[in-house]
Amino acid sequence: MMKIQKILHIFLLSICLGLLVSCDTVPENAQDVDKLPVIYPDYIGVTIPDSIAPLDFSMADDNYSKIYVEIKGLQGGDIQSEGNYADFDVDEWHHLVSINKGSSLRVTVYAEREGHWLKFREFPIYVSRYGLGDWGITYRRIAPSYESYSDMGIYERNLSNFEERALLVNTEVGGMCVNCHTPNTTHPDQYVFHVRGENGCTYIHHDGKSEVLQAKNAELGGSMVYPSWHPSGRYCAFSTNKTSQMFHFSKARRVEVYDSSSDIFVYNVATHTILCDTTTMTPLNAENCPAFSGDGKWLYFTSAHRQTYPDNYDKERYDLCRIAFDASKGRFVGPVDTLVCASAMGKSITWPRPSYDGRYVMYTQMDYGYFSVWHPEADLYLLDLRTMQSHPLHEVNSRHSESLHAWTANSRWFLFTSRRDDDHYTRIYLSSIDDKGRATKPFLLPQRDAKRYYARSLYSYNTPDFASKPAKIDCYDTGCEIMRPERVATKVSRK
Amino acid sequence: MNKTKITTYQKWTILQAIVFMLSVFVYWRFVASYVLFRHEEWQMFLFDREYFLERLVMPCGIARYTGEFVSQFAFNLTVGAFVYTLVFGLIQYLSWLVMKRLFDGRQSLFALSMVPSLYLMLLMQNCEYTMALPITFLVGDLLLLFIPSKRIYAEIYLLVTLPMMLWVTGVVTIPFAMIAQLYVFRQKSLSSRIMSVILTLLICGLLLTIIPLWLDYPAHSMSKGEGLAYEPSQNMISIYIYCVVVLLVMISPLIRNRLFSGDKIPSSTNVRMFVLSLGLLIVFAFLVPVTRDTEKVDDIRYDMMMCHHDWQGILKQNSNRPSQTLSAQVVTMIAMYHVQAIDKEQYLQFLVKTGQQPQFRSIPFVIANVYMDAGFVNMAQRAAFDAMESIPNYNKSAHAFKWLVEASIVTGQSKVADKYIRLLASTLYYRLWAESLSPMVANPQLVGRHPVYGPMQRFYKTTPDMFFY
Repeated sequence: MMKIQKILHIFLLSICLGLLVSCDTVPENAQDVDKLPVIYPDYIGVTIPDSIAPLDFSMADDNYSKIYVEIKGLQGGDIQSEGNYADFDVDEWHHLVSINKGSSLRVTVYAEREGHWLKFREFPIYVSRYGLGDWGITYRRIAPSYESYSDMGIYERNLSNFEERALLVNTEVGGMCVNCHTPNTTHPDQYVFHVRGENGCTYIHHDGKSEVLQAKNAELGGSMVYPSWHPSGRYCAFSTNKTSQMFHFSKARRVEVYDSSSDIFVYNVATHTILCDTTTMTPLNAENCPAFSGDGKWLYFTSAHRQTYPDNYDKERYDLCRIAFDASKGRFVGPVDTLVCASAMGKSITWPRPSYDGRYVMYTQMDYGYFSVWHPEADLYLLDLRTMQSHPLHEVNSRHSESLHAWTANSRWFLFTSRRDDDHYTRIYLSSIDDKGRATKPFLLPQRDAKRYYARSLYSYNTPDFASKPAKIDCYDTGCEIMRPERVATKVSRK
Repeated sequence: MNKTKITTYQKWTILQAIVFMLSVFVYWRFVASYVLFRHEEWQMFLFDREYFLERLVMPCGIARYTGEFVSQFAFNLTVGAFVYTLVFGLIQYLSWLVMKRLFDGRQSLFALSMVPSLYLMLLMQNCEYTMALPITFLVGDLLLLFIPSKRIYAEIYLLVTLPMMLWVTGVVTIPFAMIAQLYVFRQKSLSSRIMSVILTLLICGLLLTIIPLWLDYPAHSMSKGEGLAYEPSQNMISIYIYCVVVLLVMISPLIRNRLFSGDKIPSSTNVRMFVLSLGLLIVFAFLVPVTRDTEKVDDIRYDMMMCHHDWQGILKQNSNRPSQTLSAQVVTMIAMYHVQAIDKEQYLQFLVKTGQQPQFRSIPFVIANVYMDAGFVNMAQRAAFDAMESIPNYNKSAHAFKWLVEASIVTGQSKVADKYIRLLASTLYYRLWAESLSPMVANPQLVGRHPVYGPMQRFYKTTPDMFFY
């Protein structure tokens, strides 16, 4: 399908190029407006890596028919764009940004409305001195539905341009649900994802080969759910959850996702053994959201005192915990350490994500529960592991749900999903962290004609993560493997 | 003498055509209007570039796009029936032209040219196929009509068009390719003709493997008739059988010409042909109820009457032929409430009780309508979303988006409402309605003053929250 789209785009581009009769020129007699332009996406004052795709944007107000944009680098270079939206040539953009690495770009916007041109106040885009370090991102695209779902897929996207490729679409697996695609420390040579349905499984790729594990283990009493790779690649931590949904009758929140029970275990990839430890599988607590540290010595997770549903749905509050892990023996060591007692503050923590350099743990904090996507109050917080102090990332939070964050391998950048656009469809935003733990203003994942693309898109972005290079996954072959009945059995070992 | 015979023949042909077209219109408007309703309910045709490109990059995408363009007119059942009649009439007419042109079917059986249309209408009556399927046959007929008569040009024509046709119309291309080869080799011996047909089949099979590989598209999706049926994997056998039927019908003049040589037409042939046409229509009318999935059709009918607020029609249908389907029960209760045969208390109690049954969620379009009608906005919103996600060929639904717009406006989610309004504004029939709601998105205070949404919003804001499942 990508090939057909490429052919079509080349064809359409050829026609457009053929129709071009003039070069871009600065509009004459533009009236100076001493205010910043209101653009979509809002890229004013954002900080970007040098390898990012062009930040195409439009005027947010549809009454502007044309836009002319001039970008000048503080350290030299300039590019222009004129049309219905600011559409920058990829190579020209990269050249400009690369020579201004560590500096900034100055953007001047002219916009035409009812035949008159207006010139807006110039605004900056900062180019970080830190590169992304990763090639792209992966994510699941799915409609933000309730129980039913139609087409969905796991995709990878090159962050230096607009190319997107399907890794697995659910039409290749009989319409089953595909989810939780997780690489190991952004390396796509090792990954795991789940397929839910009649022929469900957990699909693991490691050491150049793929294994299709049975979806459920009877002794475990459930499936493998939220994964986190140990950096060695020998283990993968999972939660196992009994998840349900209930729907609000008359509240702006639509859905409440909860677990009637959840536990955490570690899976030994080589021996297909599920290592159960009573420390992380307590009957009175719900352990969830495991995440290995970058050095593999700690497993971070959340833990809450189990509640009864639906009566006490708003009383289940998770704390941030961690436990030491001995990779040589494949077991937990020592007691569970509570790092942030959110429940005591009347809050709940979910999705802890340690940075790979061991400096921070980023997590989502909300009023109760753990499924943050449906909680508008969910915000990103940063725990500094040197000082053990947490603070909210005011720079990136909004009135809407922020969560499902992930770090780049160099721990300088992170992405997260947010519903700030329209309070319903989650979009991917990127931001960077400076040495003081402050985040920069986040920017929306760039798209060609972003305003039209996102207005038209009826999918949400889910469980995104960075990828150091393109994945070697063939959609069709993977689908065939999954549709075969053979499954690798897992066994349980208890401590 | 010859001039008189041709004129009489033409008169009989025109008469058959009129009878046929009238029958098709009556069928679509009064017998199978639920098919039109379902086609229109399960799609949202958008006049924008993205929608066209989304279809173009899929096999049978052009056929699907054209079929959906046609189906949008079913918003108005009479207009829809008229448009569908044109399509099926065109299939018949082009089939007849092909038979005449390719196989010297001047004395061909006009009646037989009705068979592809009638068989298609029978296939489609259980709402398993979209309008893409008839469009593929139209395209196939056009392929044959324009085939050059000289062999070398015809072969070049086929070499160029066949790969494109396989992408545009999928496996339905195959019978037309075989017919084309029979025509190209018309002056050769029977064995040469058979060899050319077998070779065509092999080439088609090869192209069906190569094209997807080149385009990075799964080959099996092409052979499964993706885009033609709502659930292709379950309905391909019927399409293959139809291909065989079309092939036999189109080459029937070859057989007929062996039986009647020369120009001599027996004087009673025109009457016989007319009687045969009538006979086919009667057989068709007989087969309609025999091949119909009554329960499924009843469900769609009730859904349709509910959407049209035809409360009396619902009660009449239920009294003439009571149905035990869940759709029928639910919709009948609502109709009884609207004609004041039951009071609101009974109605709401029934809704609450029925809403707890798990199978209630198997009729999402009906329950979305029901909940929106009752003012249970969050429940309607969920049902509308699930309804849309449950459409087997992953289409979006303008009906569902309409409910989602209303629910979003009532719950104060203006930005989402605006997103959906902009989508509906790209449709033909929902544009004006969507644009009429835009002021409420820009100015949410207007919602409270609306005669329908105002009370809904007050109920939503004042009702204590609870959970539903």
